Amino acid sequence: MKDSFVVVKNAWLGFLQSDRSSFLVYGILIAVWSIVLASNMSQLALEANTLWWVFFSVIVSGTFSTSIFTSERLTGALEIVLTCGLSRMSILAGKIVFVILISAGLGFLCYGLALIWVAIAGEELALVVRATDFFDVAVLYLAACFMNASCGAWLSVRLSNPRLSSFANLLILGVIVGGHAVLSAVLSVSAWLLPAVLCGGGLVFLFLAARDFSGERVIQPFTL
Amino acid sequence: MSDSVIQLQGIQKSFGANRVFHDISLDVGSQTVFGLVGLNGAGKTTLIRILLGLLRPDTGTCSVLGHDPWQHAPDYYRQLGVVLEHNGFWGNLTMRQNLSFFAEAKSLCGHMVKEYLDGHWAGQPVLEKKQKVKLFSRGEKMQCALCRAFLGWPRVYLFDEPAVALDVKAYDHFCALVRRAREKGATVLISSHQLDAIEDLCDRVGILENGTLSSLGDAPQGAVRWLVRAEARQEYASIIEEMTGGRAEHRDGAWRFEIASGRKDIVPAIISRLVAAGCIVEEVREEKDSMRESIRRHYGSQGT
Repeated sequence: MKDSFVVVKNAWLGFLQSDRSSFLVYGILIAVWSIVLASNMSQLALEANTLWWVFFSVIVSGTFSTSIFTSERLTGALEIVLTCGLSRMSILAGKIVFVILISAGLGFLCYGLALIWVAIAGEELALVVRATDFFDVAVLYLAACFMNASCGAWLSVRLSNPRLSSFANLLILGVIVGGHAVLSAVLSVSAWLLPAVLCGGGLVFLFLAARDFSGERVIQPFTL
Repeated sequence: MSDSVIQLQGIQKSFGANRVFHDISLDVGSQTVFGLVGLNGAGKTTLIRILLGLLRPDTGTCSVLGHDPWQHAPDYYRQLGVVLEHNGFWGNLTMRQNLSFFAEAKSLCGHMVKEYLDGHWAGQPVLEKKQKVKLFSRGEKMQCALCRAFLGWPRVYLFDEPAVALDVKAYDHFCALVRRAREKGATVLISSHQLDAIEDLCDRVGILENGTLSSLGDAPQGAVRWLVRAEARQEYASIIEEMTGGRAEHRDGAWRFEIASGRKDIVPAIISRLVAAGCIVEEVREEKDSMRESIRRHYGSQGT
């Protein structure tokens, strides 16, 4: 636990000291996405925003997964981290927690900004907040972030070209959300099904990532 | 050498159809600096990765400080100082911030880090820099990597090309740190193409080639080469060849010849006869190979 905290703290420090251009990109992303969410909020339904939330999560989590898993492995920095005195599972857990936390932070910032746009547009804010059901949105979004972070960790080790991991991550999420949409059209399914499937997927990918982090593949998947 | 710190026995390793190691065995004790040399692609980095538990040998046993590196025990890694091809720093962080992470990873407390930095890195400009590490030069990053490696004075050091890009001052500092670590009883393994560094620091040297590791000192020394700086005249050659029973060659202003090991006593007699023949002898010495020459000679004898 303490070791994972060291990893999270270090990643957070690295994020805070990112170049200004990175923050500008995140700022633009959040502003644009919040406007999209705000426009859908007027429909007063969680379903209307489901797609936007899960795909926002894959963009944010994918970006951070790429930088924290893929880039470190491609540059060789991961070899040093793996031999620095922290257990491999602590390193993996710390990185995944960081991706989830930063994605959650940016997601909720986006949500808050969307509410501001709604208020500016003259909508009844309290009604919108109640109708969009913050708790449902949060659970869905965090479940998506968890799956994306775990999936990103696993793909960064597994793919022969790990730079494609964001794309592959998007594809996997698309299949899950698409499958859920088809199922919802045919059957009456619980609102918790999608978050549950995303969490389940996250656990499977976490297990696969943990297995690969214990092996040789984590440093050189190309030659094995 | 007292106890065995790094112990490899019958290590074999393949990547697909490519067999990198056929049979590697190595035993390095404490207070020893071991140099690892070899041509490009010989497997030096692979060997270090096995010692770090990043790669698993196909067969054979590997033990460092009594640990099997493949178990990935944090306690094992906390006793290692590592420099690899990539420095492994987070570019957005400063040197101090990076060091702080690695100190925490090794469970070192703040005053130990301060004591180490004040005692061994005081006055080093690289440590005073407030810039992000990504703005450092290659040599500065290497100095930072060395600073990290010696942090906490671990018991074993595994260095892959540690002297690359170091300036003269930084190189001397590195050598001083290695010697200090050895004094403290540590075991250091240095893999490098920079033979000067190997020669300066190493007690033993191993050559990695064709999937095996042989010691440079293992080569049979049937004869010792001597150098006598004197004028090039045929009669001097005759004297030397008569007394040594071998061939004398005049090159770069000096006679070079070999005498069988254990027959060092005939050298004064050779000099006496040369002087008696009117030769002005300016210098007499045993001609030892530099590391570079030894290795060249080794590869020459292998036909590579």
